[in-house]
Amino acid sequence: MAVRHPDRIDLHDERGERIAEDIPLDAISPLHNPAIKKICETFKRSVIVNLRRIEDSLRSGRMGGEMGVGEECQIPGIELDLPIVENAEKIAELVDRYVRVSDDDDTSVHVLGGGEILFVQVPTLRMYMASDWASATVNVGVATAHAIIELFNITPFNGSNVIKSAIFGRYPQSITLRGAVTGLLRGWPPALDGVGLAFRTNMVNDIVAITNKNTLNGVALSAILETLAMFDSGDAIHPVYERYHLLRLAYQGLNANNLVYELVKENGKDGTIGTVILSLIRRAEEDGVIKVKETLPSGFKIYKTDDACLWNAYMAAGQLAAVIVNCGAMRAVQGAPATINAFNDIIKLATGLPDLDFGRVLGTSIGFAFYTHNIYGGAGPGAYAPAGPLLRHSRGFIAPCIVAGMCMDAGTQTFTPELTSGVYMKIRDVLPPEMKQPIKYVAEAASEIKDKL
Amino acid sequence: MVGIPYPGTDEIAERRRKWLDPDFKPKKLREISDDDIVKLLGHRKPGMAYSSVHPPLDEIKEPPDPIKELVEPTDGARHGDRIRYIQFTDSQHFAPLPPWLRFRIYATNREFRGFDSLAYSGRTLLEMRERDIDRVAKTLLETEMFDTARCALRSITVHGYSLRLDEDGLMFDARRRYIYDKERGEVVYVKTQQSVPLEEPVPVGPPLPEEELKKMATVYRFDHVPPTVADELMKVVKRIGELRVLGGLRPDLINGK
Repeated sequence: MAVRHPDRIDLHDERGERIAEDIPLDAISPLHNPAIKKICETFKRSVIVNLRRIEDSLRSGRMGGEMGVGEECQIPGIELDLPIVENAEKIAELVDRYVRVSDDDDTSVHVLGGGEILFVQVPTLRMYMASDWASATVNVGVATAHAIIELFNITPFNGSNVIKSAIFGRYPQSITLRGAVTGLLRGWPPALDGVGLAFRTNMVNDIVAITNKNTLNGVALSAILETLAMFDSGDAIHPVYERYHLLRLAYQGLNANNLVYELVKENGKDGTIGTVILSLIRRAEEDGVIKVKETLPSGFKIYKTDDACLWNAYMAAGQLAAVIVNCGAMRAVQGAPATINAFNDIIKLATGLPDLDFGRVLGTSIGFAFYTHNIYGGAGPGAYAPAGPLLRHSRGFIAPCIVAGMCMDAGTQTFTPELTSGVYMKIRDVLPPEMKQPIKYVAEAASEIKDKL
Repeated sequence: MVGIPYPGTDEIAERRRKWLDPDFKPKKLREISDDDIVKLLGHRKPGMAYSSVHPPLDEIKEPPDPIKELVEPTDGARHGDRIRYIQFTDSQHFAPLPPWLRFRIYATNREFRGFDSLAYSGRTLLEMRERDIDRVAKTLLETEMFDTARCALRSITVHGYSLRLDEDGLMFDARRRYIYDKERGEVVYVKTQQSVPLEEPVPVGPPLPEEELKKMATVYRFDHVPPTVADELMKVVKRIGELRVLGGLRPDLINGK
């Protein structure tokens, strides 16, 4: 018999208003919720082609570089001067023809940014027949190459050998994909050093860009991707762990029972991480999530819980509220790792119960704080993806908080969403509404299916 | 519940509880002028305008975000100030605060809302908007959070927290940012926290006597209040360790424990 969870939750939107009532926890599961399925499927079958970059690469002969910024490879004599951006509509028509399976399927090709960007969604049937999600990227990349070759009559005698490099970069001589084509899901299988990481390969700034800096919707999209990754990687396979992750998604990601909103409201004016912790302990005690097990001679209360998964979800919500309160006061994201660190450090000693995710979040946040600061400073928090070696050990609990911090940032970062994820801002208009306002659409979808589960 | 709960019946635990109260106001011990603090921080000259990293919040057009409206920005954030830092090294020889407690105070006390910190290898960083840093620097330097001999302002070359004190009772500093002025009987900074020589020395007051520091201590030491008296703390820490391991395998294993 399939696993079902007894929990019922109310879902509240970013204004704190209730939008779905008495929802069974299973109704927000990626395995059941249609809106989350739509988000999952959109990520997997969407591809971005940067036509401006192809044109510039071919014109200058700069391609196949491996550096993060700029191209270190330039081969004189291979230049091709083709008006690709100008002919974007024609290329789009050809790509549509090559990837479409039937006349009435769900293929879509959009030309954006005055011809600079091609946003392609391959038909679901192609993804069904694919061995992994990179199939969409490969097919669209090759389709674009064929379209350029056909449109401009390119042959091996006048330059067809460089079209591939302009689109796919040095792949397959290298394992990375640093050309003009990328999946909406940034992960590229050969470059991932583990299974089940693909849904975590979009950097924080991508999520911020897609949700237009709306804090709770950014948090929701990030939490949904993290949950998809947990189901993808085997972390949500036992009934306890499935519930563990669904409760995290509900309370941290989807503002279940308005917990995050109310904690922020209570502490937003003059509160700190410490006061958020006090509010959270009080609320958890009132809701019966934790109970006093023993009072020590000093008056210190050791708490116990009969539902560790639920208390963990409460802490996940509290941690998010703490980040919103602290980074919101500073209007800067850089304090997010420190907030996560302090929240967990303090709450475990204040309750006598383990901290969030049993110490993994505290451990991860120390490394994250270190590598976003200091002499080792790699990048701003927004430029990290949860699949990175620094963040992957926290199973879904950190990334949504960094997204929240980034949404709160008023412009203090070098690595802004505009810089690292500008293309996601350009494609936002043609993305399905489920991705831009996940809180609303996931709640609506949950209401629709709640009686069928 | 007023402050953050913390286990223990001894004086160290009592003081830790006091420090972790969000509304705690530390006792003022000395007076350092605003201009002198600006000089010590070394970010700008006294009287110079604050530099900004973005326009004032009122002038920025941001997409509507209901939850952002619930959070009051600090004064510095409202003006779009650059983010600046102040960093302390606290000696293990009875400095009022160990680095980790300093970090927890930043995270708890209302005065420090809107902060970024990192405690690492004997130093504790604090980053805030510049106007906010100037405000809290007064608290950090003038109150019982700071002792002029056992704590030091150091943004670089922080080494020294675990070394023996010198003949005047000062913490070792390879950059010699401060000296003990025997005639005045007080510590005088001759360099900024970045170790740039100051045009005029900045006196920060006499060091506190050892006995006074022991009365303020917040760490357990075998030569003072030994950790063996911290029964409650040990009980709680052991419990957390055990439950982390058990729950780390599968969360429901700690239910009811």
